[in-house]
Amino acid sequence: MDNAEEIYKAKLERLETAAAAKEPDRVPIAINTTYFPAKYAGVSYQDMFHDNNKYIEVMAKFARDFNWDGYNSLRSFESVPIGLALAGYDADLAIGMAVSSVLGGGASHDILADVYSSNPGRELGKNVESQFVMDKPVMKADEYDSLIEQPFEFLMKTVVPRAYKNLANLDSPKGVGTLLKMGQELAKFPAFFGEFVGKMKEEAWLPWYLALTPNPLDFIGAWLRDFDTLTLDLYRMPEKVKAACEALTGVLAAVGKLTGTISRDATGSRRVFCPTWYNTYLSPEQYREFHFPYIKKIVNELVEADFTPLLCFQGRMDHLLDTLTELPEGKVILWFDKTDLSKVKEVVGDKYCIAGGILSSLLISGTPQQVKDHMKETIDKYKPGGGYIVTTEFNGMGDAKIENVKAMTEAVMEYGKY
Amino acid sequence: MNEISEAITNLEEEKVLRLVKEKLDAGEDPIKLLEACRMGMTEIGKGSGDTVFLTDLIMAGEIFNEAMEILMPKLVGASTKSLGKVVIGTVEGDIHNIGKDIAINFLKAEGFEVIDLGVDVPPQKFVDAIKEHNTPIVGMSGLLTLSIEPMKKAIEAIAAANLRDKVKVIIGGERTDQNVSDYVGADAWVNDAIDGVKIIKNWVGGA
Repeated sequence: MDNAEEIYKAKLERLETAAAAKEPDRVPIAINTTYFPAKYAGVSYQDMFHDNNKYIEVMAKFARDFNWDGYNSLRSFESVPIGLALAGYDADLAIGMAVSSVLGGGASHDILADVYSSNPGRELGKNVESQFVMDKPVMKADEYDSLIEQPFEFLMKTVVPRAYKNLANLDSPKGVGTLLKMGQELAKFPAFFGEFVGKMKEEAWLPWYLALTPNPLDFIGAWLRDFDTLTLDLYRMPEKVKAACEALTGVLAAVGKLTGTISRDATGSRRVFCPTWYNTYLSPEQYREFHFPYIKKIVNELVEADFTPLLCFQGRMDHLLDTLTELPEGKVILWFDKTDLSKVKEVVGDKYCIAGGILSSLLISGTPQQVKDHMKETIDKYKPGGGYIVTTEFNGMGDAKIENVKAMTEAVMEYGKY
Repeated sequence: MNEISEAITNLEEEKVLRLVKEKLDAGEDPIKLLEACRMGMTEIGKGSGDTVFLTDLIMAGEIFNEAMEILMPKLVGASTKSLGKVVIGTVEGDIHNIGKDIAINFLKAEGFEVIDLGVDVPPQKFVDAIKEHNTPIVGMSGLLTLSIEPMKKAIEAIAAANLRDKVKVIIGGERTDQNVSDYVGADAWVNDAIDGVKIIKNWVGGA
C-alpha cells in the first residue's frame, strides 16, 4: 500500500480521538472479523486457523482491500490457564504461553489436547468457526479455598493436569515431552509474530485489539468451573466466589498490562480487550457483587498505566447501564452487542466513547441497500459530538455476505466524515 | 401458592428439597407435590426479563431437577398431564447448551415431553426425530452467529422431507431476530428461553 505510514498514523489518531470521546476526522470502523478474511480470500477456515502463512496472507489481503481503521482475528484461548499458572514464576514466559493460542493458531491445542477448544478441521468441519466450551469443569466446587490461598500452585498442580489431557501426568514421559514440544512451538513464535506485524504494517494495518485480559468471574466461568456450575456457586457459596475473584484480580490486571505493552510496542495500539460475558445473565445486584467491582479494578489499573480498556459487553447490558458512568470518563471504549445503543447514549452522553451499531444478522441476511440505509441511520444518530466507533457484535462476522461488508465499509466512508 | 412453590420462586434450594422429602414421608400425593414444583417454576418464569434473570432460571432449573429426582421414583405409573411433545436441539456446528437447557427445564415443568437432541445436531437428525416421535413442535437453539446458516439448512431439510407444514419451528439464541427468522424460514424467534416456552404453550393452546 502506498503511503502506508501516513495512513497508519491517521488511523491511530482517529481511533484514539474517538476513544477520548472527541471528534476525529471521520467515524472509525474497527471490527473483530474472526474468519471473514478467510471467506473473503477463498481460503478454508481450517487453513487460516492452522497455517500461519495462510493466516498472514488472508489478513494482509483483507487489510489491503478494506482498509479499516482497526481489525483483527485472534484465534483461540486454550493456553490461558497454563500461562496464568506460570505468572508467579516468570512473567514473560507466562505471557508467551498465554498468547500462544491467541495468536499462534491451533498448535497449542494439538500439542496440549485441551478440554476447551473445538477447532476447524479438527473437532469441527473445515469451515466452522473455532468454539470455546469446556467439556466439563476442571475445578470442583470444594476447591475454591485452594484457588484462593495459592492460585498459581492450584492452577499448575490441579487445573493443568485436568485441562490438558497430554499434561495429565506432569512427571510422566508424555507430560514432559508435551512441555518440550510446547517449548519448541513457543520458540517459533517471535519469528512468526515479527513477520505478521511486518507484513501487516505494509498494509497500514492497526489492530482493533491485540492485547487482552479476562476479568476474574468470566475467567472462572470459562476456564475453571463452567457456565452452569459457576452460576450455581453464586447461590451456594457466594463468599468463596468473591474471594476467588479477589485473588485473581491482580494477576489478570498484570496480564492486561503485559499484553498491552506487547501490543503498544508492536503496533502502537494501546487498547486492551476486556471481554465480559456473565453481565448479560446476572441480576443488577449480582453484577455489582460478583462482576463489576473486579472489572472496575482492572480497568482503573490499565488506565493508570496509560492503556485504553476496550470493554466488550457481550449480550445485553440494558439492565446494568447505571454502572457505566463509574468507569473513567474518556479513557475507555464501551463496546456493545445487543444492548440498545440509544439508551446507552442517554446514560453516558458525550463523556464516553461507544462502539457498536451493526448487527451480524443484517450482514448475513440483508441486502447491500438495507445495510447502507441502516448504516446511514446509525451513523447520523451516533456521530454528532464524536466518541463513536462503528463495529459489529463480538465474533459477529464469519458468515456475512461479502457485498454487505463492502456496503457497510462504503457507507462509513460516505456518511462518517465530520 | 403453597410452601413448595414459594420456596422454588425464592430459589431456596435446601428448603425445597427438605419440604419435598418431608411431605412425601408424611404420605402426601406425589402428583400434588409435582404440581407444586411446576407452579413454582411457572411463577418464577413470569418474572423473566424483569425481576428474574438468567442465573435465577438456571438455579430454579437445578432445584426443580433435584426435586424431580426425589419425586420420580414415586411417580412411576402415575398419570400426569402432558401438553405434548417438543423436539429441541442446538444446531449443527454450535456446541452451546445453556439456552436450550433452560428451555428444556421450563418446558418439562410446564408438562411437555421433551426430546433433547443435544448440541451440534445435523439437519437430518431433526427430520428423523420429527418422524420418530411425531412431534408438532421443533425448537432450534444457537448461541452464535455461525448458527444462522445451519438453522436455515435444518429447516430446509424438514421441508425437503415434506414435514414443514406438519411442524412449527421456533428458533432461539442471542443472535436471532426477525431478520434471521425470515431468512431461515422459522415460525417464531426468541432471545429468551422463557419467551420461547410461552410461545410454544400458546401454539398448543395451553396458555
